[in-house]
Amino acid sequence: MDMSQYRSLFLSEAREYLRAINETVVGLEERPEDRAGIDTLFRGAHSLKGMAASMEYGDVVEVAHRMEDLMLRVRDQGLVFDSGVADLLLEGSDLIERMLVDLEAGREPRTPAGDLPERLASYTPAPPAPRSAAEPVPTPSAQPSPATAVASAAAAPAAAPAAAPAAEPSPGPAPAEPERAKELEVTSVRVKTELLDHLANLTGELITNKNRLLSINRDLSSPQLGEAVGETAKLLRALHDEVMKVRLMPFEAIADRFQRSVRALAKKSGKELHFEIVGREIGLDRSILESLVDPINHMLRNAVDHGMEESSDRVAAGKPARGVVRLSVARDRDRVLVTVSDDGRGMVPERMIASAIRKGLISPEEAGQLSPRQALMLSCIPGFSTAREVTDVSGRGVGMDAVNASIQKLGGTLAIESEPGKGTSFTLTLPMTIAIIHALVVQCGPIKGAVPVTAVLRTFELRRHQMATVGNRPVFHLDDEALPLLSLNRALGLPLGRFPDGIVPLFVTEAKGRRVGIVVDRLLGQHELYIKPLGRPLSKLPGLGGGAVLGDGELITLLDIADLL
Amino acid sequence: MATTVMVVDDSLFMRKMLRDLLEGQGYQVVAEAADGNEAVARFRESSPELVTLDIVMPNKSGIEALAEIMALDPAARVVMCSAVGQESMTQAASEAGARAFILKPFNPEHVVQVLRDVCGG
Amino acid sequence: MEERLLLFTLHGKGYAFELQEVAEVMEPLESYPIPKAPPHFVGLINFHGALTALVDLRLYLGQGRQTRNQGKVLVLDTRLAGLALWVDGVQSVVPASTVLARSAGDGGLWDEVLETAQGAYRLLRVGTLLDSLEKGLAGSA
Repeated sequence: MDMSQYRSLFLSEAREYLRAINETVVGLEERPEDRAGIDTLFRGAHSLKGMAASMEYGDVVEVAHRMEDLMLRVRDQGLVFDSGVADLLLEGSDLIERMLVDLEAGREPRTPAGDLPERLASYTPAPPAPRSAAEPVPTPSAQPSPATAVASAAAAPAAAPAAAPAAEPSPGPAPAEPERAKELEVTSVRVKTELLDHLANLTGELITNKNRLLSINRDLSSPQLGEAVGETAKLLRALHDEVMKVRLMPFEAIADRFQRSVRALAKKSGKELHFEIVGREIGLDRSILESLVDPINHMLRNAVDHGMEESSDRVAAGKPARGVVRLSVARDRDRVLVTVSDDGRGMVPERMIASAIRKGLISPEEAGQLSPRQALMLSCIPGFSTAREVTDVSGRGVGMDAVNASIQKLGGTLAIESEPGKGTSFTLTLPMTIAIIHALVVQCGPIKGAVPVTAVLRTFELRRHQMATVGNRPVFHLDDEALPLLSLNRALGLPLGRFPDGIVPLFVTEAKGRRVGIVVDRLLGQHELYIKPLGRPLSKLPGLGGGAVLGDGELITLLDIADLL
Repeated sequence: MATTVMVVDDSLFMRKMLRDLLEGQGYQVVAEAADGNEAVARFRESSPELVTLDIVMPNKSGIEALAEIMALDPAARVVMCSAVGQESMTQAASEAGARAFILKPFNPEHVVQVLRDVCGG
Repeated sequence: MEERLLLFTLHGKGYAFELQEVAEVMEPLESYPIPKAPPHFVGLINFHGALTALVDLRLYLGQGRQTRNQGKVLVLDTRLAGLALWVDGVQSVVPASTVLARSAGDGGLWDEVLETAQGAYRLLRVGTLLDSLEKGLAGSA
C-alpha cells in the first residue's frame, strides 16, 4: 500500500494530537486528579503510536509508545501525575515534533530519541521534597534532582488549594477540545490556505469594483443603477463577512505555546503562579494570529519576570502566595481585545516619569503635562528601559516599544492600566480581519493617505485659539491631557499646510506610547479599503503598510503613522 | 450490491486509510464516526452491514459502543480494531459480540481476509 | 523556446532586458504620488489591479527627468516585483542568438554589455535593479 499519499494528513493530525497533549499536560499539572485529562493524554499517545506505525515511522512509534505506557501507569496503576511526568511528556512531545519536521522535509528523523524512551519507561516519582510551609520557594539550582526542581510553576498538588483557592481554574475546557475537533472533521473539509487567500483577494477586488460603480453613478445619477449597486454592495458585504469568517482561526491555535512559555518562565524564575487563558474560541484572521505570537510572549515574559513579586513579598503584602497571570481574548464588535494581566506589583507612574526624565527622553516641562495614563505609556518609548535594569520597576518596559510597533503595524493599539500593588494589564485592540479595513483618508499636499480607523481615536477641526504651546511645542487639550500636535506634512517631507480660515484638521492617534494630534491638510472621510501589499521595492520603504484603489480609481497608500513620526 | 460499511476511529488519518482500503476492495463506506457516541448514532441511521470499530476513543469507548450496537441489532457484524497489547480488551469484545479483530498497524491483506471471512459467515 | 531580448533606449543609449522578465509594455499612464519616496519614484500605477511603483529610469541614472506623456512604460514580471520603468522607447524584440559578443557590465546596474549588429546594449536584470532601488529606500527613513 502506498503510504506517501497519507503523509500530509498524518502530519497535520499528529500535530493536533501533540497540541492536545501539550495543553492537557499543563492543565493536569494544576489539577492532577482530572480523569478526563488523563484519558486524553493516554488516547493522544495511543493514537500517535497507531498512526506512526501505519506510516512505518519507527522512531515516532517508540516515543509515543513509551508515553502511552507512562500514562497507562497514571491511569490504572496509581502513579501520581506530578511535574516529573509532565516534564517527560512535554519532552516526548517536543521530540516527536522535531521528528515530524524532518519527516515533513522528506528525510529520516535526525534527532535521536536518546535515553528518553528509557526514562519514560523507568520513571519513578522522587520522594516528596522536604519543604516546610515557612520555607521560601527553592531556587532551581538548590535542588539536586531534576524531577523535583521547583514544582512551583503550577504549584505542588497538596499546596495548591490552600494557597489560592480563588485562583483555582474552572473545570478546564482543554481536555474536551480534542474530541470536539474530531467531531467537526466528519462534516468539514480541509482547504488549502492559498485558496483562502485567493478568495479574500477576489472579494477585495469585487469591493474595489463596486466602489468604482458607485463613483461612476455619482456622475450618471441613475436611480436604477444606484439601486443595483446598493444591492450588490449589501451582497458583497455579506460575501466578505463569510470569506473573512472562513479565514478566522480560533485563538486556540496559538494558545498552547503560551502555556508552554509561561510554564518555562515560571520554572526559571522560581515564582509560584497560576496561568490561565480565557477566550480560546475567539477567532482572528490567521495572518494576524501569526503576528501576535511574539508580542504576547513579550508581554507574558514581562508579567512573569517583572510584574510578579516573589512569593514571600506577596505574602508580606497580604496577597496570596501564588500570583495569577491571565491571558484573555474577547470580541468587541469587529475588533478583538487581547489582554495580558497580572496581580503583581503594578507600575508607579511617578517612578516612570522620573526614570524617563533621568534618561533624557522627556523634559521636566513635558513631564508636568503627563497624565498617569500617559506616564504608563512611557514604557513604550524606545530606549525607556534596557535589559540591565530588569529588576527595577521601570524594567517593566523591556521590549514594549517593539510590542507597540508590531501592534500598530497590524492596525491595532496598545493600552496599559496599572494600580501600584494590585497589578497591571496590557490590552491590545486589534482588527478581527486584515485585508479589508475601514480607514480615514487624509490629504497632505499632493498625497492622499489612509490611516486605519482602529488607529484613530478621534478627529477634530481645531480653532487656533484652542491651541497652546508648552516649551515651544504646540499642544491642545483633550480630556485634561495636553496632547502634542505634530504635522503629517512634515513627517512626509512636504511643505507645512496653511489654514487660511483658521481651522486646523487633525486626528488623534497613539504614537510611541503617547496620544498625539496629527495635523493634516484635509480630512477626506472614512472609506472601506481593500489593502494590497506593495511588492518589491516599495515594501522596503518605511512608513507604508500597503496600498488600495479608491472608488474613482485613484491609488492611495496606507500610512503607518508610528513609523513615519 | 456492494457491502455497506461504517468506519469508526477517532483518527481522521486512520479512517481515511481504512476507507481507501475498503473502497479499493469494492466495499461501500456509508458512514464514518469519530467516537463511540457517534458510532451508535450513525449505526442507527445508516444500518451498515459491517462495522469496523476502534477500541480507544473519546466519549464512549469501542467496547461500550459495541454493547449498544449489539443491543440495537444482535446480528450486527462488528470487527474490532485494536493495537498490540490490548489482549484484555479483545476478550471483553468477543464476549460482547465482536465477530473478529484486526490489528493496527493494518496489514491490508490481513484486513481484506478478515472482512471477507466475516461477510461470508 | 529560445531566450529573447527586449531592446529599449534611454538618453541615446541602448539597454536590454530578457523578455521573460518583462510583463508588458504600456503607454505612460496616470500615477499617484508615493509618500517619502525619492524623486525617481514617479508614483504608483494600477497594473491589472497590482499596485506597481513607476520609476523614471532616466532620473534614476542621473540623466534628467523624463518628459511628461512621452516614452514607454515597461512593467516588470509581477512575480518578481511591483515595479515599472519609464524609458524613452522600445526598439525591438530579438532572439538572444543575435548577440555577437558579451562583456562584463559596470559591476553596478547593468550586468553585461551585449554587442549586436545594431550596436551595444546594456543588459539589466530585475534582481540587480531591485537590490539597487531598495538600498536607496531603506536609507530614506
